[in-house]
Amino acid sequence: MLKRTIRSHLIYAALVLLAAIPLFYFITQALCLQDVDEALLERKKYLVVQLTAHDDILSQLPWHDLNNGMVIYPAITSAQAEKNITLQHYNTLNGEQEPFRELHTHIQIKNKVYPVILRISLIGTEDLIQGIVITATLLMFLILGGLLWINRVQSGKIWRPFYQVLDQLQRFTLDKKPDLRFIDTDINEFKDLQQVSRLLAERTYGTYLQQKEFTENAAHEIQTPLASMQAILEVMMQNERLTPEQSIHVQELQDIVTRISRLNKALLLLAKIENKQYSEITLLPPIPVIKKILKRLEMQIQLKEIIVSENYGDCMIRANPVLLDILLSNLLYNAVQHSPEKGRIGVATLPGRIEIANTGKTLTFSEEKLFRRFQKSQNSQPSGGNGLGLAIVSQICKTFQYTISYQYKEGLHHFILAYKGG
Amino acid sequence: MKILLIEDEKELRDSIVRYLQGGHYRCEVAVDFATAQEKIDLYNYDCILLDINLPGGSGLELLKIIKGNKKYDGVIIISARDSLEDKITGLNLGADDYLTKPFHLAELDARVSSIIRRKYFEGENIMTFGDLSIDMLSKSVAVNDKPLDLTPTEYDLLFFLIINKNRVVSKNAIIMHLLGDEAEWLMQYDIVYAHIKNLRKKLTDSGSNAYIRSRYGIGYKIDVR
Repeated sequence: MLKRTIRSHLIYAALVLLAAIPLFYFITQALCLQDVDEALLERKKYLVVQLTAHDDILSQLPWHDLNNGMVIYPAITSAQAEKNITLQHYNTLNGEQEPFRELHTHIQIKNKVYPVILRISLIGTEDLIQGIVITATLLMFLILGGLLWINRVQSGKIWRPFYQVLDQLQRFTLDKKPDLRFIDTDINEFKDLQQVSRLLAERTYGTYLQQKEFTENAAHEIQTPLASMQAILEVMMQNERLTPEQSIHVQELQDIVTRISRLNKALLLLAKIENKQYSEITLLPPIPVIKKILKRLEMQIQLKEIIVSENYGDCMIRANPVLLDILLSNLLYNAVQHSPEKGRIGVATLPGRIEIANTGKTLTFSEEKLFRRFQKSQNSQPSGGNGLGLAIVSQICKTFQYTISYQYKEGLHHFILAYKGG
Repeated sequence: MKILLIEDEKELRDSIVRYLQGGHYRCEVAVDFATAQEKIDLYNYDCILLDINLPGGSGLELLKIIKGNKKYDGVIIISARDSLEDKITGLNLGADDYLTKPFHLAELDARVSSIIRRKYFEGENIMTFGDLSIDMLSKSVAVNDKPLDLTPTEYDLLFFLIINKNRVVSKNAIIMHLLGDEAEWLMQYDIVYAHIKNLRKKLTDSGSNAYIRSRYGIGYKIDVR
């Protein structure tokens, strides 16, 4: 912004300067000419006085007085109008063209009219004009440069509070209580800016805390009745007089409670990710995380007799540890869930890339819908996923600016996670 | 064994009390902060089940009071808050365990008995059920002094059923117990069926009098012939 204001000032000043230099030149020149013309007229008056006193010269006409730059011609009958002209005469002495100012006029002595040319060299004036213009130009550049320099130094000082506010606001994050420290300034606008920024930061943080609290309360409010329901069902199960049909209902209700609870947790997780409640980021090696998750999945993998091929290359990823675990868990659970019995799962890491693939039938819906919430496959087992697994994956990727893509190749579903760095 | 349950949700409270009584615990209840504080001051408990959001104050404050009193009551936090920070806060304040709602009563019982065992049976690591003797330290089981070869998962399953003896343990509770909180994404009963099948076979082959009854596909109960 500073540069821009300076730039427009600079452009304006340069334009004025450019216009001023020729203007200055012409004005000085005009003034000089006027001066010279006045001098010529003075000389004419003097000549008239001289000639009236010593009229013997009038008999030797035309009379050239080169020293004084004067030519008097013999008398004529009709007088021409007076005029001033600037001429270039050849100076034989130094072999250069020299500018002269001439007054073509006539003088009247004893009822006779004599044409007269009076001449003054302009060399002195030309030099004067040049000197003045050069000095003026120099002065103007000096003023302009000085102004520019002062402006830069001064504005740096004046705008310091502004840049400091900007810097503090850029560093402001929601996961920490705002602690904005501003330098003292006596400029009212900046004082206002500091005050408003502080107010805004505090209010934003307050809203964020409220939202966080609401999210937590919502979890509590839903999980508690679910806990009651689950507990009641477990007590009911102990009743020896339950008929087989009632038992089945109890089981179904148990499953439903589990599903609602998981759904609730997943939605809360999504909300928390969106609220940036996991913004703490470190550089992590993803391979141990993958191995840990595969260990957790060991039972399911054995049961389905899935063959897992692991292919690890060195890599590091910038992530939040909790979210990275959730992200990779979801992808790996997804692979196990949708892999048929005796299927294959492939896990590969490369710098900047993690690939997870599993065997399976083609999708029953379009690929774009894959990462949408509550999108379920017809092929997946009942009471399997909650339709949020990949939506969570997508949300986490969005948060950390990873890209997740899907491909179906040679009977394998490929999920490719690409990230910067690594 | 005396347990204090501090929980404001009536239905949950009643169910927990009924279930734990089936495991031969004596269960007292407190429904709000003030009652809980009074009971903590007056009596000693083997285990305190503590909800965090209570009418009149936070369960974490109660936890500070319990630990401040230099009492040796075991404490299990039962809370709907499932964030890592909440768990860490609770455990740092001296809670022995943290259970997130909704939980299975069978799991709660297992955690309670684990705390009570730690408190009372220090050094004594053998538990018996029928002709089974379970060494909790080495996590091994013997039938009439003959070792029973079990995988770690089968041991966990058997132990879980024995802790919850006299009661039917649901398939959901078993799966959560075996896979833990983190692996709750998959509800595959196949895992339960497979492990129960193997465990039954091993028990029968060993000639043990302990056997696993199934209840119409809801769950399982361990019994002695």
